[in-house]
Amino acid sequence: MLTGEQELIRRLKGGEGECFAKLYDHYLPQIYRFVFLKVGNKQEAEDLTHEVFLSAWQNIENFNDRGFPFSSWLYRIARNQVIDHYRTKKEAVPLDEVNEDSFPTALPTQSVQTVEQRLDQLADLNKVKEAIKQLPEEQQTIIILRFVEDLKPAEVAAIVNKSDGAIRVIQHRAIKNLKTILNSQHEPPII
Amino acid sequence: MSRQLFKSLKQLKNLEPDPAFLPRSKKLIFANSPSTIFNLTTAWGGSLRFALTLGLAALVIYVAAIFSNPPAGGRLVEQTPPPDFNIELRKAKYFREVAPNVYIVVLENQEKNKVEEGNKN
Repeated sequence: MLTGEQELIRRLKGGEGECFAKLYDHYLPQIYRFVFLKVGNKQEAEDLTHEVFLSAWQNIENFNDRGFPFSSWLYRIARNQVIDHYRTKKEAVPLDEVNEDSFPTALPTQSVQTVEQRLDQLADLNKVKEAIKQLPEEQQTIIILRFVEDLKPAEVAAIVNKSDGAIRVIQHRAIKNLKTILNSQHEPPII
Repeated sequence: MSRQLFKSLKQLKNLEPDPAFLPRSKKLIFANSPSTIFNLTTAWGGSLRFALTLGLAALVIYVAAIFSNPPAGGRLVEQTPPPDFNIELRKAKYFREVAPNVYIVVLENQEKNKVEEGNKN
């Protein structure tokens, strides 16, 4: 949670629009990541992330602090935006759009790695990313929030509107499915 | 497998948006002024709430007044004495019998006055 977040929101609701800029700067990367991992396309992820923040900006009066960070509300908006996006979208996003450009900072340059190691790592990340996209929407959300963003089960539960116990069950199922998808990708092609 | 998977998932956290996207998006968002939007909404909402409260209060007062003081129409009818038809008939009989006599007296007086005026001249 951003330091002094509640005060920022209180001032924002009071009409100090510049407070939104601080929330935007702080939460934009994680919301973008969440959307990008779901849609797998940079341009669409940018457009949808923009819509998420625009919606939050225009509906800030509706935000009710229930003990969870502002990001919980943003994640809920983002999730709905992505669901609506797929509902209204005519054509599916091809998975092969995922490329190295998707991970501009995924590979820390300061670590000592050979080119081969870095390429292997990049390939692994792309495989994981593709595997996430093949999961059902709810499992995608939980995998991203729990293991990429490292959120607590209670916070994830608030975002997806389920109990902690349900989150743990879905999380277990999602990991199992992810492993199955990745294993099938590792199998050598039949010639 | 699990260890490698969780490591990969953690690494996905390094995904960042294009640096050029941030200022562009922020500029567009701030172009839609929410302060106007939500201040107007709040103002209209406040006025609407006030009007509704006032209307409801007026309705409650009206209903309370009706229940504590039922319309007086019924009681007025009850309080009005029933007409005495005997009196009415007596009046009618009086005018029927007396009025022609009064008329004749008036005519006689007029005639008398004319004669007196003729004599004077």
